[in-house]
Amino acid sequence: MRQQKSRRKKIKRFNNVMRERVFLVSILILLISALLVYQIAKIRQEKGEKYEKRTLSQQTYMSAPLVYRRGEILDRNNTKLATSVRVYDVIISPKDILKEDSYREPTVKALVEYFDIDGKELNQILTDKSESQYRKIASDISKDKVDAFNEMLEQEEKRCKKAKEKCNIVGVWFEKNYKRTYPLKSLACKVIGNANSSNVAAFGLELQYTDVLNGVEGRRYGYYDEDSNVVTTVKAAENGNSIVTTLDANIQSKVEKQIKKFMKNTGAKGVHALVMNPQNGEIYAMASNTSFDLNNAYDLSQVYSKNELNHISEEKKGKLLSEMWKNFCVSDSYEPGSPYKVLTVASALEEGLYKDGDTFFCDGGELFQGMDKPIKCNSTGHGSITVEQSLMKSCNDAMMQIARNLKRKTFAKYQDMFNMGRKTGIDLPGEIAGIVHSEEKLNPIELATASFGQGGTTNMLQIACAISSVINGGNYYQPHLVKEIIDEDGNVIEKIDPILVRKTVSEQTSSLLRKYMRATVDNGTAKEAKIEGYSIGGKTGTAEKIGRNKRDYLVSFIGASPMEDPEVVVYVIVDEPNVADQAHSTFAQEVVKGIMKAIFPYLGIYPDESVQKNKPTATPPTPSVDPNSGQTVSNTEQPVEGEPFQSNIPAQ
Amino acid sequence: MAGRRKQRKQEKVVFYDYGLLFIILFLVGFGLIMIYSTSYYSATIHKNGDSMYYLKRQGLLAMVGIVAMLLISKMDYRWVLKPIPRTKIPWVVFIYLVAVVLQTYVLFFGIELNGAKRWIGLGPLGTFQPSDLSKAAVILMIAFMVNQKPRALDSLKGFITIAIPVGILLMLIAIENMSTAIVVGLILMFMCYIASRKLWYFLLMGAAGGGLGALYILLGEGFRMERIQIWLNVETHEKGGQILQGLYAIASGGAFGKGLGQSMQKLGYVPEAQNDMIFSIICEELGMFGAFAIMLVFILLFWHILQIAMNAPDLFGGMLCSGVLVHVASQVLLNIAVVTNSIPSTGVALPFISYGGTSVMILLAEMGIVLSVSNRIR
Repeated sequence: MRQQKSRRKKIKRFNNVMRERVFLVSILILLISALLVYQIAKIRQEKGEKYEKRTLSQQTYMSAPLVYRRGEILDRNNTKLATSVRVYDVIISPKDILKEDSYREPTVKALVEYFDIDGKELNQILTDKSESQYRKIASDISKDKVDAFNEMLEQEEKRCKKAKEKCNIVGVWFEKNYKRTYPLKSLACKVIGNANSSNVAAFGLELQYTDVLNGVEGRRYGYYDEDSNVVTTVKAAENGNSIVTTLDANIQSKVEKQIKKFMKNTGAKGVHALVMNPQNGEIYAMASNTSFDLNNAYDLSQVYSKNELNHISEEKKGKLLSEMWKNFCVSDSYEPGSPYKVLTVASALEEGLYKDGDTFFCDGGELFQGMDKPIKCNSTGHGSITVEQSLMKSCNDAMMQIARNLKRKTFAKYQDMFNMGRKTGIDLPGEIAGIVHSEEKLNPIELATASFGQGGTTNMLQIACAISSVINGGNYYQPHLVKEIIDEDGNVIEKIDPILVRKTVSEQTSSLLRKYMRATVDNGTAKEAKIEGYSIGGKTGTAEKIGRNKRDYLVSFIGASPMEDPEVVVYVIVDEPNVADQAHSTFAQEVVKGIMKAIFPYLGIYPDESVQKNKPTATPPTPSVDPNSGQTVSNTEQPVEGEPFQSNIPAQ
Repeated sequence: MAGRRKQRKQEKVVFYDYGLLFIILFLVGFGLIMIYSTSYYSATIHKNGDSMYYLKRQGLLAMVGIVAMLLISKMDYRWVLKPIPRTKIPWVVFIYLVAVVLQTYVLFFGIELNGAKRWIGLGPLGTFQPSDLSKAAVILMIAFMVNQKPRALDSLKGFITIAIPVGILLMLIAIENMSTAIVVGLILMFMCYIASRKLWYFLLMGAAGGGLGALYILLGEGFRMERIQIWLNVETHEKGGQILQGLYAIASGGAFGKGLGQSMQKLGYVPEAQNDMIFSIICEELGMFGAFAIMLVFILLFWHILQIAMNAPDLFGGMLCSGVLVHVASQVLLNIAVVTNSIPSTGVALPFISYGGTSVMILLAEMGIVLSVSNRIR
């Protein structure tokens, strides 16, 4: 020190003693840090579990979630298909109930009386959870029951006040909740889908639009202020938006009735129907022969027999559930068969390969290299037929000739244009597009079978949409089920307009196909579907199912009306009808005819053909009452009411 | 050691502790993230839905502080020893006098928040907490006086000459702000310990400080006694809520935490979670791992300051660094000790991380001084 001082007088040094001291201070800091690390670890070790539980338990009274109301699913006439109704949870505070000896008995008695609660269980809860201040003992209690209880409580309190006694019913309160209900029960069950009470959706529109339907949960927060008092703040819940669908509960119920009728009279492995508007892609109805009550969407016994459900694993149960929920119209693919001929003929005319009136010669089939038998048309052959007759008679030979002349490239182009092998993009989950041969794989045999709808697969919607575009003037619309999103007050938030995907054929081709399809119903293979007085067009299908020796068939019919400017397309397939000789499309025609008869008056489609007997075949529409709900299904949007029905019949 | 210094001198390499700079910037950045995470809920509720309210304010002041730190670090710290032009008063004394004036001013005209008058209103600029400035002023003052008479602290008289000016400031602070008074007391105690050759004074001062503190608690306002009661019975005391909720947060974080932004306790349970209790939310969101990592970063910071102090080119620089070291370390340790209920509750901010504009600016300025000292190491 002295040495340094003498050497450099001006600079005062931070000397070695000081260095040592700073170092010691640092060691002290390090030691205290280590102690604190130990302290943190100790808190975690000793109190971790206990405190963790407390943070969770204080959430119930310090920070309770406030439920939102999930939006509704409405049909096009604002009929409620799915709605959330207010229900209540019954909450008790065992600690308060046990505060005085005189409370317990009357409170338990009242709860048992008003809410059907098991008295034994309730007493058990009071004994076991005597310190608890929050215990849910019942849920999904209707408002009526809660009101009744509250009224009783009020009376009791009044009486006690008069008699100057203490009221003995204490520690009970109610929390609001919502329950998802489906007023029309099984109607359109596979389309609407299901959501549970926690607003988690499983399938259908509920799943597709779950984010739109769900709101935002609110919360009631409590926190400690400076004096450790609990102060609460509330962030209100936001209710979900509703969706207005293109479905029509009336049409849907009529379609389902026709399917039931067919199942009763004839029966089949499966019957599936689709009704849509060909002018904009709106779906009116989708139905299958199996249905279930959406309010019990997890009850398999509605579709499967007891034997089938006996001793099955959870895994199998899940499989059966998804099978039960599956909407065949979009989630199953099959070989469409003859309805595809409409598309083949349309491609030929559009390409200018053939024109109206050209003829083919059908010799009953065609033999391909590498095959020992020819691909058959019919046993005798149709002989010389026109393009129109090839559809009317559903001639395979003519189709094979068209496809051969179109060549694989053009055939594939139209296949693609009609959206085969691709999803339609409907707003439903789980669409399956089916598989068709690509251009490279369309070798002569594949090309020949594809021309009449065999060898590749599609779903029902793909066929209905492609044929809709052929008959509506060539506009391919993306099919859709939701047309508006509205908020809880009914204000329109989003309008969903029809999406025109592409032009498929010209108006000229379209009008020719309308004529051909009409001829098919008037004088061809689809005579069974004819309704006197209405212009109806259509195409039958009788497709052999894979495993060709079993003689199992999938028969179908797609029909449209009126043929001047089609307003509705009805497509029905009957999978393996319960008859010895399945290969007759009449089964499907019968169902379509039944559906059309039932819905034409409702849709405002009137007889447009001159008929012999000047008498309408259908009855004028009346607001129908759904048998399940007793609710009137209104039809305000349809221009039916107030229009003189008779005046629409052309005078003759 | 001497040889190494000689070598450095020959090479004329100017040293600048970039490692320390990096650690400081990391802590400030981390602090901003944690302030946003802890405060967005209460900011949304109480500040008209502006979830970034606290983040924006702290971010702005941190930027100002960082710029100030960089400027100070490039200046020679010895300028504070020079007199103000045309007077004989050195700058350091001037700063001390300003602190005394502000500290007195705040007692009469301060803004009262949560029952304590600690803030001076600056209109639209917000508020200024003079006690933060006072801490820096004390460090400067002690270092200055030690530098004036290096051997003074070896006698009782010399010790008293240093203790008096610091004591005045300490008293003024203690009236409204016990926790800052403790920090200032610790700074005084340890800086004297480092500068003095007599351990005896250190022990005496420690005993005196402890005794005064005990008297202060016993005779002072009732709430201080209550805090000790809370500390002893945190789970059962009816006013244990704030500390207990902090402990819940620490305990429920687990090893790796619930994830950034996932704290449940900040949703109103831990009040003003962005302030003194921020460490409990760090524990909850980042777990024990995150908490220990942050403590490790602080220890690295201390290590760097220690290195600079030990290699300081002169006595003044060494004393400054020692003072800053004691200041930052005492706040870090006191804060964590309070949050873990190791000591009775007292409001000490976690340096660089807790919300508080004055605090972060003054701390960054002090870091600027340390960096400036490092810049003189040759």
